[in-house]
Amino acid sequence: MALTVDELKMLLGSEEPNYTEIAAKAGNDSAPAVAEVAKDKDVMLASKATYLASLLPGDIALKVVETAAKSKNQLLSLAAASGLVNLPETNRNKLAEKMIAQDDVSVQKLVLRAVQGKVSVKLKQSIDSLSTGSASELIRTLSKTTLSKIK
Amino acid sequence: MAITQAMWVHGHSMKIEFPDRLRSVWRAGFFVRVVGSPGSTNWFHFHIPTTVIVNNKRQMADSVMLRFRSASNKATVTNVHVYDGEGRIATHDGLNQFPSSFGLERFAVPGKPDVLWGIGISVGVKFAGTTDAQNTLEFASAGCDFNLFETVRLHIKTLTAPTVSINTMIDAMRQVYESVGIRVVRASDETLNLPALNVVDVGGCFAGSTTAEQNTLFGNRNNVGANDVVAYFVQATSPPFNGCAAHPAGRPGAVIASGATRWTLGHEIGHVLGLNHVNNNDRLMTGNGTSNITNPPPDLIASEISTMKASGLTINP
Repeated sequence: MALTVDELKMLLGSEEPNYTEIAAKAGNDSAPAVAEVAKDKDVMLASKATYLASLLPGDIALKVVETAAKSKNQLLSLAAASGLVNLPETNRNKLAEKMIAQDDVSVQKLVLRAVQGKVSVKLKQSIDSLSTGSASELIRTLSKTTLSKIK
Repeated sequence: MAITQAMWVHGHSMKIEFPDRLRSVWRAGFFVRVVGSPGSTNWFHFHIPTTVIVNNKRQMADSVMLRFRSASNKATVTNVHVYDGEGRIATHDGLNQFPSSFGLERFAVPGKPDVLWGIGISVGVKFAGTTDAQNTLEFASAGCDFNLFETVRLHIKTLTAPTVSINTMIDAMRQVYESVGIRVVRASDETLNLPALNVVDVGGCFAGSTTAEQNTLFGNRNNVGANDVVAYFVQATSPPFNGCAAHPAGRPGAVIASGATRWTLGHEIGHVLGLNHVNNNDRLMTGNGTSNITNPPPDLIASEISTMKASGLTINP
């Protein structure tokens, strides 16, 4: 049975939500409620809902992550970047292609750690560019590591 | 919690900072009576004899007390500042006190600091009446309670300042911890420029299990004693949590995210001291989120207090 918005808010309100357990309880049916919580004015709650969405199947949940990825609120885009690793490979790499362009070391770090498998030429070029051009040593190193594990 | 020392002075020892702003001063056996000039303010000072060490234990300032009365609501105490030597250790501003009889007005000293040099109490007053009868204050005595508290030494290391200020979080933590006899000493503050760890991977945030990033972050223990606790304030955790108390062995501490609530710091340090979640929103350790606390300040129950005091990170006085 789908969780309600209030039930989700209670579960995600925890300081340290157990996302695996909540995702198992929520399932695909709860995606509309998750989408609702992801728009909550409490940004912490919204960011937790965004991450939870990354663990749920279906287009509604994916849309939640994609929307957060474009958000001007940094905590939401970070939550989306955190959740990238949970998305199916095709969706993950497609979204990574857009997020890698964000000039934010934390977002880039999370994206680089999530990317694997077959990627687009554009994403590969972006990573290649970061491997030599990023001002951050961490990003340069991570980019090189990522390049070695993608096709 | 038993008071270990209580020191008082009689009111007629009161020192007046601006005698020219008073119409009269009468020191009697029972109190000092001052009549202020209409529209004036003033400061009165009490020096409290202070035994800073008793039985080889340095005393901690708990609270100060005043016994005074006012002839009208036009003669009021507006400020109470507490000093240890030259350092101010408590500030109570914006007061408007005018008791009509001698009671006991108590003013807490936040953080319960060690007393080093001697306690002074400075009392700000305002005389807004037009007659001597209205502008009369009488002080019978002033005192300070001292105590010995179990202590958690907390170091603050900031990568990103949180939305709810660190001061607010520490005040909230003290509100809960001090009420059960545990004081929180803010031992040091340091800003860490570690952009790679500003969003720190905490995995599932399970006690005893830490990620490589947590291990690196918690390696930053400059000026931190072995039994001291560190709170690392970061922009966010990955995945998003308010905070996470999982820490590498021998490096006690917690990560606090920028979106944390006022109670998150106390909650996470509670985990570090050995507490688990409970299903009760009246309590600090609620597993339902400190943003859902229903009756602030949240509670700690007896068994939790015992666990905290038994922790090696809670230092006996």
